[in-house]
Amino acid sequence: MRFLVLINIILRNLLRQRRRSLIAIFSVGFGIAALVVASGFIEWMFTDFREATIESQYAHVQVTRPGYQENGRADPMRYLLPEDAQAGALKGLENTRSWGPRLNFTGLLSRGDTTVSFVGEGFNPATDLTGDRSLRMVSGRKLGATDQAQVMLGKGLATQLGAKPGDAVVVLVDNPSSGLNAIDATVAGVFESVSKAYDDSAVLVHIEAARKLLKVPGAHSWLVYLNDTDDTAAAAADLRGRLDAKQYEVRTWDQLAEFYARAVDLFRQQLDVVRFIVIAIILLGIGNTMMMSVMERTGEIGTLMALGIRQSAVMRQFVAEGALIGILGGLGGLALAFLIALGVDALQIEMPPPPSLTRGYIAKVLLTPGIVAEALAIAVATTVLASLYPAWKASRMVIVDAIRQNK
Amino acid sequence: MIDLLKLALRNIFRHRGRTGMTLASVLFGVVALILAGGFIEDTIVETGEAMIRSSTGHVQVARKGYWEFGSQKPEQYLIEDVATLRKQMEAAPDVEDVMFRIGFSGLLGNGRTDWSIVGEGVEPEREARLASYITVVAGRQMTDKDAFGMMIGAGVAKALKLGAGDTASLLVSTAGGATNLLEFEIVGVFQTFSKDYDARAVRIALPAAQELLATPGAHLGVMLLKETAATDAAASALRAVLPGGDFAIKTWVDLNEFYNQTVTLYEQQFGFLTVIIMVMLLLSVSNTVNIGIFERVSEFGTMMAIGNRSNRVFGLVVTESLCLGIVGSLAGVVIGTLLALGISAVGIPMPPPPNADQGYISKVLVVPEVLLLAFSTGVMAALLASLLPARKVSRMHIADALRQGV
Repeated sequence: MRFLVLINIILRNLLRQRRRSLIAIFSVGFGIAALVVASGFIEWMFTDFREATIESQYAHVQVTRPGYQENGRADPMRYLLPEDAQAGALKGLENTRSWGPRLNFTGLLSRGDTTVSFVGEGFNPATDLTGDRSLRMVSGRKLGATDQAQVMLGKGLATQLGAKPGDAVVVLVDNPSSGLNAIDATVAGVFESVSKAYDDSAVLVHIEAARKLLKVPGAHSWLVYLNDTDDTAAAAADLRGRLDAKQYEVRTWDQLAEFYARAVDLFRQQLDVVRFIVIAIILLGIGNTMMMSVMERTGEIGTLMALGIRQSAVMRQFVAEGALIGILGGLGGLALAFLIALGVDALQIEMPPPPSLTRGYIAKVLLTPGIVAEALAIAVATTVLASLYPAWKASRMVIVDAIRQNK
Repeated sequence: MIDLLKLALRNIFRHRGRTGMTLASVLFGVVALILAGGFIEDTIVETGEAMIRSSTGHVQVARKGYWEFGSQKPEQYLIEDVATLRKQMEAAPDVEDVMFRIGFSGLLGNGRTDWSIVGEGVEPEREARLASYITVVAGRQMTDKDAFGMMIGAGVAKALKLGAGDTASLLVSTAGGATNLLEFEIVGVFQTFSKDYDARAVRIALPAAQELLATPGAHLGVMLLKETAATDAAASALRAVLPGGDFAIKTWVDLNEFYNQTVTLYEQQFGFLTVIIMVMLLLSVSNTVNIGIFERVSEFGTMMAIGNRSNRVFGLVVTESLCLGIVGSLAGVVIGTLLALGISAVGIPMPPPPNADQGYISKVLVVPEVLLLAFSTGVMAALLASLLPARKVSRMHIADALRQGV
């Protein structure tokens, strides 16, 4: 009951100065909307790139021989996994969409007189790189399940070589296990992943063709794709339980995708700057408004205290006024952000590719419960903080002096 | 007019508390704009210098078509008369040094496996002068005497487990499709700002590369200038001298897509930040101005009662606000500049950018355009905020206005 009375009084006080309260609520609302839109935009960008990075490069979980990620490039033949038939542990895994072996090698690729060096990967076209967000075909088509005499080239590599779908190329490797070995192949298609550096040197071939070229069975890594990225940690833990740690190492995409992790850190920092500015401006603006309100109502405060209202009650009153401005502003800001998000969605704004990535993306604002909760918390916390000093000032007035202000 | 200004100033000084609050709002916004703008400008400049000083130099000259088709038929785009081109390039204004490079692609082997690399034959001592953003992380800088020495990128070293003192074999295909194999001694491992570059880059001395590729020429002439600002002048001077049909000239901006992407990204972010600060500034200033005006309604009533016209009241209110805006923005510019200089003197340690391994020290540059933008934003916010309330009080009935607050 007393609580309702308090709310009633606060509302009346806010309505008494309608214009001022509105501006105060509006400035909180705008700041919150800006913060929410910025966070939501960055959140969307992360989600989009996360999925593209996973689908086109790392998969959700990779199984290799221990130490392969660090030392395997220098001596790849020491880190071979057994044949596919022994990958039984991957099949019983929950929430798994598919899995596929990868065999890595380097070599020279020739088309006519032109020769370039490449980084190659053998993969199983039936189960690997099948997601919607994986490789984008610039021209030609993806490898089919039986295309053992075809290759796919990264966009940059295809440009260096001047190759297009249908061209005949020679893939040459020189390896202690295979000796000098070459196969003839046709270019099936030219692709683009998220990373330009990868596309500048990548050649993808059928896993069986790669095994024939290197004269080895098995693979370097087993890539596991999940239905939902959120299950990654659980799936990795499950796999670690099933596989012997001495023979196998399990890594998740976030341990492998260093570029992604660093980009996330960078954008988090920038978001902190926006947050700091919004908080500072709300503090200043609301502090100012509350101070004015206290000054103006000095006489009224004197009267209240003369009637026996305690200091703590006066203080509570002003802080609650601030908090209400925060709540209303926060809710208004969220509504505004929601409208902006709808608008951005409807406009389909194309963003240019970020540095060293190949793909642009369509701007979107993703409003997660976390962002909404954070925004509301900031709105209320900053307004309460801003009203503390004015409220304290109001509660410490000398009653006689305060009353005298009443003309 | 002078009279109005005097009155406005007096009013401002009469209400110290409120004046202080408004000034603080304006000042904070202006300072925030200056710091954000200066920080972003520094990032852009730093990115550009990192590009220039770790690989591309300021201006590059190549045979026409080299950049488009050179990787397919490198032997068709060789500059044969290196000495003449060097003289022509050295004659351009503000040139500090000119160096030549020859590019190749091949496989570097450590005896167990190969790694696909993008190699360059360079003039080591001239390159060392250019490359102030390249760190040698192991071994030493290559010199002109290292005829069969090689420097490799940190990524190459990591992939092949090679270190200074090791030998490696380099396999390339020469003009005409033959392959050629040479042994090199690794003298050093380097690291640039770009991980992608380090993962593939290998540098050997120009004569060794010419022997490997069986050619006497070079692919690229690279110009190092005394200062980056002179780039366009040097490039156009060179364009005037070189026959257009034979050579193509590119500046570092043309050569670095990464730089252009970075600039676009940061300009978007700064645009967004500017809009936020502007609107917040407008709202917070308009609140203070509003309160200030409506508290003084009876005062304005009195003014009009003794014969002041309503547009004089309007003018007074707007002038007061404008003065606050100007004073606040000026103070903001001064404090912002001082802060920027102070922060630059200390330096902000930044974590490595997404594609690099090295962190760097960031500064806040004082940019005239940003100062101007911040100043005018502050003044405009104060001016705009006062228009509506000023109109409202100047239109009030004198009797109503007089009765207020009594």
